[in-house]
Amino acid sequence: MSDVLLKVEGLKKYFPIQRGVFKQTVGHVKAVDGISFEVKRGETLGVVGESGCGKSTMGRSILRLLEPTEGVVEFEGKDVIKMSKHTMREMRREMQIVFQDPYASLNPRYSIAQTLMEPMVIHQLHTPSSRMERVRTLLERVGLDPDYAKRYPHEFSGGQRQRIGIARALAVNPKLIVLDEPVAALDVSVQSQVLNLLEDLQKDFNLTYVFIAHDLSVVRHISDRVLVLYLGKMAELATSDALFEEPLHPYTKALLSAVPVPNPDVKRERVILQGDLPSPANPPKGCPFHTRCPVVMDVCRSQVPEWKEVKENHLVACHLYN
Amino acid sequence: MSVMGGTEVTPVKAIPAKKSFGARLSKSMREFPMVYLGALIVLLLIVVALFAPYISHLNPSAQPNNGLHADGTPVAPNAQYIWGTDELGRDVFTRVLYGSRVSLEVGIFASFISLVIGTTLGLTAGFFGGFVDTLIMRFTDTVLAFPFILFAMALVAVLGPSVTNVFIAIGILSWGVMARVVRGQVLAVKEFEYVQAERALGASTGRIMFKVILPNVLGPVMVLTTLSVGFNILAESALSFLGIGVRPPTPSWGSMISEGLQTMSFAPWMLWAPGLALLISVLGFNLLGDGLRDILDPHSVTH
Repeated sequence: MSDVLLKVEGLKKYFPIQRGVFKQTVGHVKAVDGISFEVKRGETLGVVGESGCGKSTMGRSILRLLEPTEGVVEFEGKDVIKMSKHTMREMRREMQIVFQDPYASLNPRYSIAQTLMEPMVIHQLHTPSSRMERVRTLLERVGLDPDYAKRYPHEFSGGQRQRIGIARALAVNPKLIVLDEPVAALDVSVQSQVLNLLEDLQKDFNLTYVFIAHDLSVVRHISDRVLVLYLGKMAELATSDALFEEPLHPYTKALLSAVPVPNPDVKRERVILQGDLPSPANPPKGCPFHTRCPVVMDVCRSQVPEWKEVKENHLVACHLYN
Repeated sequence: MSVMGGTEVTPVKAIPAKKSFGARLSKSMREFPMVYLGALIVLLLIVVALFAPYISHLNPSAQPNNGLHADGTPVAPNAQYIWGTDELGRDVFTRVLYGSRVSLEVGIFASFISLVIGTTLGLTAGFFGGFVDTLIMRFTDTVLAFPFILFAMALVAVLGPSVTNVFIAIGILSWGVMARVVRGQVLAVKEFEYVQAERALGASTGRIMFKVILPNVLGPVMVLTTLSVGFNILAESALSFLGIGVRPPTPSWGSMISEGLQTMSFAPWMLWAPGLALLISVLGFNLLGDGLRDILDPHSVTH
């Protein structure tokens, strides 16, 4: 069995911009513009970038919740994008997603038990009589009292709802879980509980995570490797420690300099980026970051930097290293 | 409880004692008086329609000898004919009671038809979007543009005047609003992540449409259906008033009102009785519908 669980190559997702009475396509929002990476079994790949860089779109495209415009997504060697609807349905048992908003991710008209039984009913798992038992087991596994199975989402707090969302993802025994900013909407203390839960579950079930987030301290804690995205393109990919200790890409350096350090005596070089994120409908030529890069060079404005392995297992797309 | 690296606060298990049914009911009635008043009227209407023969022992079509004065004019309300008689000597009270049957039947079945058509089209348009949505919505706009009375008249003329044809005609002309409302709700609900989650789990399209989206769309649908019963009762009365509704001698409030207009000067009860019945019935459904809207969606704009 190969080590690589998920392989993404040249993933692109463009959204057409339509204007006019006849819905003419006048342009595209290039949300994801050529992303390639591999995720090993049992690993956690963190994906970071500011809002609008395409992280969520990428996450959903991998699962085919959005149909990619181009690219290959291989799960255990099988191309997910090309699968028929029927095969895809089976495949959905292997890859699941946990959403960011605990208040929108649970059906308000279903009790928790019904929500957790949905995956079992859809895939006809377990006999109807044993499903409730499985629901109780799942609830226990995520740290909730199984007696609450009959309650409705509005009776739970945000943190509890996220746990339920995680339980739902686990119900089909997936191998891969895409987590789309799963703790962003939670209080910091609750965040740590949920993160610890995710780590425990990963160990127990040998899960592979694609952990999308914008909170760098969270990402550092939970990821093995981290991918930094900017405007739909890859900026840097390295192990968590390498990225945080020796960032290579100017954007990564800027991001890291913005992370608060709880020590008022520590003096840090703050890299403050000028300007705003360019529109993904009209990305800059050459390196997408050149409009805000503090060390921009002429070549950056015209040529797209190559994605290169600059150090061992540390890849960057930046002309500084070309 | 399991300790998962951090304290898990177990929610309090003790459930506070529930108030008695009576206490909760009266609290609810104070908060939503409209709903209860409306519901009461609707209930009354249903009872009247079901038990008309037991409430009045008289025959709505009978033209007894003492129904008219010697000079042929209708008898004013008295001990025997509590709401008077009409031009043919028939008891107005009984006719109003039996008229509720027509009104209710048409109101309910027409609403049912428009509910089914409107919800199906609205769900389909909202869920699939794109070309399907445009196609269905343009069609809906067309139907909404039809002048209601004229088309209802034409339809009943073609189909023939019977209660069934009347509610079919009204039903197939009035589903437009429902379709729009349902579509709007579907568009909103569709974006919620629990719908995405269903897709991620591999649910079939049918399942998502009917088991996930539809139940979450029902609130406004219920309100609109209730209101539309009121509207359809009014529509039926309008058609009978114009003479293209149900055939005599079946009593209908609309035709009674039409007759009552002619005889207003010397037999005003012929106009008042069916008029008030119609007013109160439609009011009842409107109160119930509005009240439901208050309960289900307190944030809506009307107040």
